Amino acid sequence: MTLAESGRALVGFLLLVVAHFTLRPLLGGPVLVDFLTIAVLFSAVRVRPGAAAAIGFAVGVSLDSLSPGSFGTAALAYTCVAFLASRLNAAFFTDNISLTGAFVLAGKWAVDAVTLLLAGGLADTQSLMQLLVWSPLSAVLTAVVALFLLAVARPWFAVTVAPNRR
Amino acid sequence: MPPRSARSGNRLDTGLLIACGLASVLALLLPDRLSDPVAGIVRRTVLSPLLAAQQRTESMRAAIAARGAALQTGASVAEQALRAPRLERENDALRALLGLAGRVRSGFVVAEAFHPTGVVDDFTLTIAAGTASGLTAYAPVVTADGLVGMIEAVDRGTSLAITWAHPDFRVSAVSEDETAFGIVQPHFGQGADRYLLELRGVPFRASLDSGSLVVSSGLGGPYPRGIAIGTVISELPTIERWSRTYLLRPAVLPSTLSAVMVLLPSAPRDSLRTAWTNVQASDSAMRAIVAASDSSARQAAMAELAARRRVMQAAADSARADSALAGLGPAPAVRAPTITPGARTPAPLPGARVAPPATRPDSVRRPPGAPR
Repeated sequence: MTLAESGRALVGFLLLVVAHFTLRPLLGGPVLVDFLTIAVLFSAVRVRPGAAAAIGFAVGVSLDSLSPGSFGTAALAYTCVAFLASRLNAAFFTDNISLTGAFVLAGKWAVDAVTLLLAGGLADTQSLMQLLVWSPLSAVLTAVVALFLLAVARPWFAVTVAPNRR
Repeated sequence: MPPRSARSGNRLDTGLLIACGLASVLALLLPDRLSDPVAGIVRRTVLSPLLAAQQRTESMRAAIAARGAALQTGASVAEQALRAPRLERENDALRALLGLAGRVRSGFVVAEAFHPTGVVDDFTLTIAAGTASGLTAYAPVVTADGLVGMIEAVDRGTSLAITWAHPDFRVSAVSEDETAFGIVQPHFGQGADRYLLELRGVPFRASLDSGSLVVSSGLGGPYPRGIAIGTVISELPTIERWSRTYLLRPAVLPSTLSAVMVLLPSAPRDSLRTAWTNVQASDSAMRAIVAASDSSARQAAMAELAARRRVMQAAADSARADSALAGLGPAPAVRAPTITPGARTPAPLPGARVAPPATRPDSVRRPPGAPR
């Protein structure tokens, strides 16, 4: 990545993080967009897997600090998902919009699944409902928003891979 | 064989993954007393501007909602607006909080509460007050209905609280008549039952009826005595033969909260002890507030009542005079309109004697299970 591309990527990442804390509460509703997951996944596919894991860890720790009693769950979830995203991207990435949508959908659902499993398992119906109903719905909405962002602000969010990572 | 740079890059990636993974697992295994300071540092530094922005957004959203309500109110007359169910509920909640504040008198902070955004955050609240307002960790969070939870972490401007539905929540409890002690914890049931409570470890000889009020006992923890926790629904069958377990309906539903009160260590314990259980004090405070806030409506109602009394009295005098003239003996008594307990007491008419009520309105006890 050139310096300009890195700068745009950083701005895009920061915009998504800010949107998570400002735009998301305004949207409301039972199914919420996860801008942080979009930010992590879009960043992960631009950098090496190790750096992706570090980004995921940092975002996860930040989220964990807002949830007393489950410190470390989001950190582990985002670390794993970001690393895998970067690895999968290096292996399979194509500049295909539907694949990108599926990529975000799977990433978001994976983050929720790992977080739920680490936070207390799937012992009750409520957790199962969260995992099988609300998380997939949220993942779909997140994927739609990710595609929308790619369509309207491609320079900041477009996923490009360096030739040596293909 | 891949080139050396690629191999070293792969080793670096793997090393970073292992480092981050180990750090995450370590964070998971850390006890709360060690992880809380770390979380606090993250909140106070990296997340501080973001949380401030989130608070502003929440305020903006509340303002937008309030703007809509204000426009709606402006479109109708004031009486209709006052009767709107939502406004009435909000009004009641705020009055109840005012009443509670009057009973507690001092040592509390009233703040706005909102739910954080996250996957596993159903059982936590973010409170828009922190150390700057005097809040400390483990301070009880209450409403006029009863116990909400406990402050878990405090920053300068915000605090995080767990509600009674959080798996870690425990409170030592006692029945209102002080016959049964136990520990209240969340009921880990399925579906809606997950939002109930359990009173565990009640001695077998102590039996509680359905509808009995359970309050905090003040033993061994941050919760002072007397905070309403919930009411007994039924006894739960358990394999323990030496103790009983009761299912409780919580006094407060956290999902409906907007404003809460955080009790400080300086809150007077004697006031707290009776703030939720002493209906007499509750009624007095409530009626004082109602009287103060609705003085014009009260005056109008009393004037109307006085006029009706005069008319009734005149009719009674007239009937008595007619009966005496007709030699039919005394006329049947015409009673002035009666006042139901809890209603505002009318002012006595000049020269008229008003018999004292059989029971004082303040002494009317709330029936078990009745809404506050």
